[in-house]
Amino acid sequence: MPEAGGWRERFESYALLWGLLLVVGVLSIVPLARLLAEGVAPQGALSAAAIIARAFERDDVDRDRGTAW
Amino acid sequence: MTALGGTILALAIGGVVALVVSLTDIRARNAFVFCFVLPMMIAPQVVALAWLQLFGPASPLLKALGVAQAIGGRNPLYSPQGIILVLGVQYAPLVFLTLRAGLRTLPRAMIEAGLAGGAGPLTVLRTIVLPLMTPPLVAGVALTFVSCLGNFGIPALLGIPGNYLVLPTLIYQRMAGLGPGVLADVSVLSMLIGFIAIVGILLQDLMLSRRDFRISTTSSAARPFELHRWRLPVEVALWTLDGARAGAAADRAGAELVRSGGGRSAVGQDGNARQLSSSSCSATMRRGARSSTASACRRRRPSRSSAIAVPLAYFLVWRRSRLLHFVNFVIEVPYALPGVVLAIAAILLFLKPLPLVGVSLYNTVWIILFCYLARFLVLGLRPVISGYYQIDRTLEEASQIAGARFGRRLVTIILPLDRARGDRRRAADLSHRVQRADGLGAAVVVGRRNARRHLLLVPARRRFDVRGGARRAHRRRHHRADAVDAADGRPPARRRPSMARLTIDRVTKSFGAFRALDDVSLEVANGEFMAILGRLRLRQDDAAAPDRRLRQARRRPHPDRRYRRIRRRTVMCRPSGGASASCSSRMRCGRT
Repeated sequence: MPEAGGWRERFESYALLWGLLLVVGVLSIVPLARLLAEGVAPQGALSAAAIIARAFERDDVDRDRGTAW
Repeated sequence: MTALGGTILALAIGGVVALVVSLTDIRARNAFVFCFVLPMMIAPQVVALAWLQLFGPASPLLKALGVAQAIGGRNPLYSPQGIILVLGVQYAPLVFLTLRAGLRTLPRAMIEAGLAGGAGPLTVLRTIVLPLMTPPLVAGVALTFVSCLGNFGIPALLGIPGNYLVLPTLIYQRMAGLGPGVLADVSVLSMLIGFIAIVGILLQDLMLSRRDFRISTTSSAARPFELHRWRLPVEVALWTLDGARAGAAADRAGAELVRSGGGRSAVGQDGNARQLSSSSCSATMRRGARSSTASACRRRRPSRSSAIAVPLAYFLVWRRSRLLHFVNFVIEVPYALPGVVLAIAAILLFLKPLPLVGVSLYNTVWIILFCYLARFLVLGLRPVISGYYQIDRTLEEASQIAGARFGRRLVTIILPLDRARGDRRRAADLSHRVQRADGLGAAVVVGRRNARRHLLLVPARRRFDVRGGARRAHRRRHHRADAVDAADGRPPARRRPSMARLTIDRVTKSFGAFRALDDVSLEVANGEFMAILGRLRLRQDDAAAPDRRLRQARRRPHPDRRYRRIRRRTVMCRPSGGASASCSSRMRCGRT
């Protein structure tokens, strides 16, 4: 579709888009990024221990813990 | 697996009920819808307890049927199948609501065309209704899947006693264990949930991108199919289903509520209630029951997140880019995560004072508001997105070419259209807003298809603004009256004798040798929105600069010959395009 409104139309459109992206970024992406950072770098130190532990953990261990919980 | 099973069951229950309620002539429809949606407003934990009681040894229903278990026996709901059953029953209203909103906007003309062509009701359902309802159906399924995926209450109460863990319960188990690496562990599990949710959204996106679901007609709602002798059995079946769902949940919530009210009721003597009160979670459950009942009875207000959802959905659906694609996926993840995980993420984020301002949101109400907005934004967004898939964009393009800026288009075109797609009861709002754009103005609009240009003459009020309080108030009164009829599913009745607001009689328009309009006559009633579509052929030298050519066309859409009638007053315009003496200033010839 042609942009018939000129620079003002484009400015309004882009301002709204980036405003919305800012809101969504703060609401959704930043908390997730913080959570992810905690997963790959617990307490600031880079470590894949949690990912590896989860990848190789056996189901029966989970069941035992679940029963205890 | 339980999330998938729960989604399939919710789709089966919610889909069938929505089709029956919306397309047939059953009685007491509004009461049924209220009762069907009611359990969704009650906390999942309370619903799970209610179902446990319903299938337990003390179940009055099973006792009456003589199939109740012996005391001390294992409740059959303590299993994956039990989780699937309760998840499906709990979230069926999500599918029901989204599908019903779509069905209420189903155009009557298409169904009647199918029936007139000799198709039976089931064929119409299969070949017309269901294909058109794909966007709301897919949106409902996606919401249900994510809800089932992130639900903690039902798997916790039904799965843990049965030694069956799902991801949310595993997360809670890790958190209950505490320890140095708990946050890292929880984070990895949460990302796993997020990944599964994103796969679900990818599938949804794939399904919606394969076909065109736009509904361009604005005819009134479809006439319900008559069930004849099947009506009573269908009604009995629906109310039985409703009774099993709403009755069980309301019974548990109500019993706990009454029991906590100072021992005024004999419910406190009930064995199950006593058993529950002896458990460590009794007080919490009572609070949950009280707040659930209160929230169920409270009038639901429009979500404030819709202020974000409507413009955001516009960009997500109509202005696709990689960044927006990424946002479309990521926005779903906070809803899929267990609430406590999102809360921990927010705490980690806001524990320290915010940079620059130096204020900490931790331990304030604002961090709760943040979590609510982050978690439930997608609930407002998905139905809006499904509405966008059904909107014909030509109206927005017309207003853009006519000079309406982005904000104006969003408010006067997009928002009313999306609300109309989402809920037929808001048809009055649509017509009220669309009426702002009726009557005056002519626009030339471009659509890209095979290097040809399409011409759209829209009787839109000049520059979309309305002035004159008395005239506007008069219109509002009429639209309120129309809304009453639209809410009942009937076409709006005319309050006045048929009087066309604009009558165009024998209009002819040529662009050089090409005759765009040839002796066209039409009438536009009050509140009606009408467009004339046609192709604008471009000369070879115009093809290099189509925008310039179209701007020229927009500036001079003077009919070569026409007779127009405005409010019973015939106006004849001179072929040169100048206004005759009897033209009103608002509807100047050559701009209409």
